[in-house]
Amino acid sequence: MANKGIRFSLALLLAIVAIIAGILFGRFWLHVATETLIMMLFAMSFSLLYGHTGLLSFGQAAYFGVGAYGFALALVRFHLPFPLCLVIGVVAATLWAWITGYICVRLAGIYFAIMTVVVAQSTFYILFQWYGFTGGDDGIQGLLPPPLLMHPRAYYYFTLAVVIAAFLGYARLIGSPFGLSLRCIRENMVRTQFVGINVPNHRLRVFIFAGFFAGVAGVLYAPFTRTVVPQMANWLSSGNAVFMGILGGPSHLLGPLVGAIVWVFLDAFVSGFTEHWPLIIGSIVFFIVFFMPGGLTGLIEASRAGVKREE
Amino acid sequence: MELIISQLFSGLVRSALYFLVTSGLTLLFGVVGTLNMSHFSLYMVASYVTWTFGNILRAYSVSFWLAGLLSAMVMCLFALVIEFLVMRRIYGRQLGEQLLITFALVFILDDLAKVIWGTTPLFLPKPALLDGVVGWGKVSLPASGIFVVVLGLFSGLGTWLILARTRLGRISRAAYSYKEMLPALGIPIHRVYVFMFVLSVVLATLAGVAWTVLGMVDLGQAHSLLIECFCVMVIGGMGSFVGTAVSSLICGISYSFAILIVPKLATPFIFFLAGAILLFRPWGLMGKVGRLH
Repeated sequence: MANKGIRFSLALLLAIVAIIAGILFGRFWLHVATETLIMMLFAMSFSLLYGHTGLLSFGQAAYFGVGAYGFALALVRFHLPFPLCLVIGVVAATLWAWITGYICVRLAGIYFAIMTVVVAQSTFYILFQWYGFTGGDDGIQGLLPPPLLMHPRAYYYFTLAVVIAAFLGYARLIGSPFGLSLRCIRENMVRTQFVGINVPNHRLRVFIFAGFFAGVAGVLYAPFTRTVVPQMANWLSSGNAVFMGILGGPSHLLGPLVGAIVWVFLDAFVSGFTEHWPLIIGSIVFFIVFFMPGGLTGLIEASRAGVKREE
Repeated sequence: MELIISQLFSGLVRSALYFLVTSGLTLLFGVVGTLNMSHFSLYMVASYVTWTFGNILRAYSVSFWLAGLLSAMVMCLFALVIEFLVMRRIYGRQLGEQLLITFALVFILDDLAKVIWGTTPLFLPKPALLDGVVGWGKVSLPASGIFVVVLGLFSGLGTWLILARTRLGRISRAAYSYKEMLPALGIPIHRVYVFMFVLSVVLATLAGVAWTVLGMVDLGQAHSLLIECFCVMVIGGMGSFVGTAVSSLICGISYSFAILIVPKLATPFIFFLAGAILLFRPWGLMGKVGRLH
């Protein structure tokens, strides 16, 4: 498929640009770029559920938060080595997605969305109220990466490596027979069941995968900002994932990447000259949803299709 | 005994607030099929508007009641504007886009409120009638709480009468049970949608008025109620008006007793209640089974 080839060469181009950018960027832009990379993972987590399975999750921040807190607690409370803390954070997020997913995937449509909000907000409350262990609303500070990754450039390349690996896994996942079944479920759940595909099982599995991606994002985010706060797990944080996913185009392979780039750069750019960032981002989202259904990648695809038709 | 009565009463006040906020949300969802995330921001804006009118009119004795009335009128106009600019453009769209647009509206309304009213919490002095306590023997209850409970009761009754007795209400209930039939009968369904949105905003305004009597008006008041009200909606059954009334009572009263026993777990308790209900009865106490998928 030529289309697939184009997408992968685009992704490759993006990776090469990212590698070169790491050399050229100063401190500020390295910071922005690292955040973009992490947010790509967070957006992938949402797109996997919404774009490919048709499950609208408004609670991905729960796994983002649990990943970050798993890492932070392992590092600060138990003084474990850095790589082990990373693994613990991701495992914690994935397990939490497994447990809560078991409840959530029984529901569909708007009920699923509300249940994920409820789960995420419960997670937020646990992190917020459990002063003795999680530090309550103060969060946990002083989460330094090891000396090797202390420099922003080093941490940027470390994040880039993780995100490239995760993206390859993501592309593999949605291209696999499993990914095809997911899109079947999105299109028509009842018929997919008729074909003999175990729908509840597939939905639970994709929910766990999504939790895994959000967990990886959370784990990378904690040493990046050197601190974790319970607000990482609340519904506004989940909203960020929804914004990025739909902004970029949730069903497109590169959608989450584009969405995260636009989102973080808007954040860095708009908050540079005005404090009314919510007002502006809200208006931009209005514009995008009303005038560009399918998100930014959808727009590109549509224009390409238009060119083809003219030919 | 006094403790139980006063706790029961504070539970009732909380239930009334839950009901006023949630009923509009659930009615809009039931009839139109859109979950309006910005409903809570509208409730917050209504509180601010009430505060503004109350502040301007403070010199007169009738000021508070007039302020409530004026803010209801202003919010009606505001609802019509939002309906025209935003809501009517998203009704036919995908769930994700609907949620995203109304979520963007949350951002915009919150930020506008911040620009207009600032970040400091605002306090409206209570009118003389609501300032004291009402006592029977050893039990004394704050008058403001009684006002909120009565307000909740009457607006519930009023809305129920509108839905049960008026033509527009009957059409709305018809839309709840079988939407495709209405256009087929030649009924202009978009008018029902406008009516429903305005009604939901009026209910949110009443909640906003209730809150200005109970506490401080501030930017966080919407977010603290949001998830609890989602739970109330889910427990009652989404779209069910009576179910919302019942689950408001359950949640409000169990909250006020939970806060007596384990203060920290009062809010999570409602979440767990909602989680348990969804697990065993996903359509809620009085929802429609067919609506699930």
